Amino acid sequence: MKIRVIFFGTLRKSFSDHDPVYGMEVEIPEGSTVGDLIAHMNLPAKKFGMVSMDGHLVKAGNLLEENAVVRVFQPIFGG
Amino acid sequence: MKFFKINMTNGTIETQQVSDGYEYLGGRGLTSIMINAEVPPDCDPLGPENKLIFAPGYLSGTPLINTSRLSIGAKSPLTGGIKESNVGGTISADLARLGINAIIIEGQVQQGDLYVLKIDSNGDAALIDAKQFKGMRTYELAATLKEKYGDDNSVTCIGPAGELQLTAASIQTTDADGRPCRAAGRGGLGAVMGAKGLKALVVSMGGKTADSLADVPAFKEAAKAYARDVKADEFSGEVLPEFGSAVLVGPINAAGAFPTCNAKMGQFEHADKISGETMAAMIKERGGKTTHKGCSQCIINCSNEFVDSEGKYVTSSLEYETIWSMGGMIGNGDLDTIAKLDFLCDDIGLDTISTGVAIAVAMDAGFKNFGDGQAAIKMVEEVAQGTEFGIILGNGPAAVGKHFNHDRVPVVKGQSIAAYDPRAIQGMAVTYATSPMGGDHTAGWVVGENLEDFGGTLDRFSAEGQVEASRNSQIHMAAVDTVGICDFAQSGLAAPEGKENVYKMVAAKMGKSFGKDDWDALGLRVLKAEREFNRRAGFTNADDRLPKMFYEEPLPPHNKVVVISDEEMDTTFDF
Repeated sequence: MKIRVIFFGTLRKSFSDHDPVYGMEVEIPEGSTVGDLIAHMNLPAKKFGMVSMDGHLVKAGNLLEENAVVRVFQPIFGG
Repeated sequence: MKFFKINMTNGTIETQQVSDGYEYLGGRGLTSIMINAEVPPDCDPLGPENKLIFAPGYLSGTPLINTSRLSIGAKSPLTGGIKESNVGGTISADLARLGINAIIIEGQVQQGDLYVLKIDSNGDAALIDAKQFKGMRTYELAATLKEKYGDDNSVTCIGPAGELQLTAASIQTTDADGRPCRAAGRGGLGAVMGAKGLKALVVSMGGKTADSLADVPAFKEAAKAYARDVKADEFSGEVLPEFGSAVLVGPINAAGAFPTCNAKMGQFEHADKISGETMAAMIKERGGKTTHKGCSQCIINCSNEFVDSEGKYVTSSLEYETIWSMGGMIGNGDLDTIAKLDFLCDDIGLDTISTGVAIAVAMDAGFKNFGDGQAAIKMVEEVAQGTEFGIILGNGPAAVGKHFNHDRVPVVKGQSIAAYDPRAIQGMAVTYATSPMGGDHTAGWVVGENLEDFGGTLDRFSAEGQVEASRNSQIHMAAVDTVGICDFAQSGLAAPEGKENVYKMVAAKMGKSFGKDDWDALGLRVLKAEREFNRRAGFTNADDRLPKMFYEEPLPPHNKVVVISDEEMDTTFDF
């Protein structure tokens, strides 16, 4: 199935075909989880923090849905 | 080590050696402890009894990176309580290098008088008549004063809002490029400066009489390790230089904690249009600057120069809080409009947080539609024009709510909350409610502790552990603001040896031992002084509450309310 993934922060630098607005389309087997996606994208664990799918935060075990928009963020610190 | 006492009533300038009780203090610790000791808590914040104190952080002027933080303190005309607002730029390092630990502005000029306080390269101070600058906006003023006195001076000043003594008025200071775009925004301290009759401080750069370090090699070794940790951290070393604090838009919106349309929702449909990533791409495409140095001795370079579609300077630096207050909070998804509003606030001398939230309250009351950026620009311009509505807006969200008889006003102790909705991050409810500063995010930022994905261990929708997290953060931040380390350089403190490095540097400056217990005691001492002042000014536990909208209106998309009970709130300062 196809999903749309938008990487935030410097994560997007890892993908040459990542569009700043659209993100990128990713083909992944049905039944894959968020954790599977992260593994599929080959991202080091310390590089990402929060992941949302269609506007809601998701965990590594959540199932991905076809045509979902997945946003992947970096760890933050603020004030 | 010296204090300048400037009496605006009779124009006298007195130099004092740092006296008992104030040694080893700087920044917020110095301003708050002095205000608690010397300012009558029931005084008129805009009267002669109030004191406006400028104090560099204790580590300002030392070799440590990212320490040009100036604390400005007074009794706040916005909250009626004690206030410390800190700001970057160059002035803190400039004052510290001249060996000046505090400038204390007392008394009040005759109505209509206005002065500039000039401090030269010898560290000598003079009050200079400034009536010709009456009503001048900050960009023109800074340029004029730099032309008159030289580029090698920092300028710290008020705009028309401060002169009008409006309670959302900021104190602006010049950045590394000499623009007055850095703001001590919170608490209406610009109004106190205006009431004193002080238009600007002009401080010579390049002083060479900074307070000595008791153990230079030990200090330098710890400072080097600290700088290495800040550079090595992914967020302060890579992410902030590229996107600035605006990078927070994406994750905070994803968490449903981005207050939108006067906090009716926790997610903004146009968040992607105003994200740090979009902003940085736009700036680069137009020929502006990211990875821009805003403050003395900064190695993070989180600042930026936002330019228009023709490459012309609009503002610096566009930050997360302003993108929220002038963006999501007013339903505006246009970065160009946000940048224009940011510039106007800096130029008129207004806190972007309070002003944006004031606009949001007006829109919520039906005065204008959410998303109408042009209406927002006109509203802010009215402040400088001194129209009836402009005066109301310039007095912040509570004044606007009162004017429209509208009760959805997200303030605590009269000061607006910041860009983290407390219903989606319960720990921020505790900080907003209990901080002696009023609604304030920097006083105890517990967002990370509440987001598991970022290493947090708390359930962000539950009350459990939130009071303790906020209390610990508030104590820690009171100490951080006293030594004057930039918030974004706290990655150095978070490193394995980070706190030890800071203790070593404080000890190496003091010439006596300093450790974790001393750090905690310092934070507690400052908080206790602030709390004591507020109690004597008439505050009670009933003031440590959020407005009812946060307890009664579920916030989409998670549809949660604040669940911290009053009894739990009241244990925050059980120490």
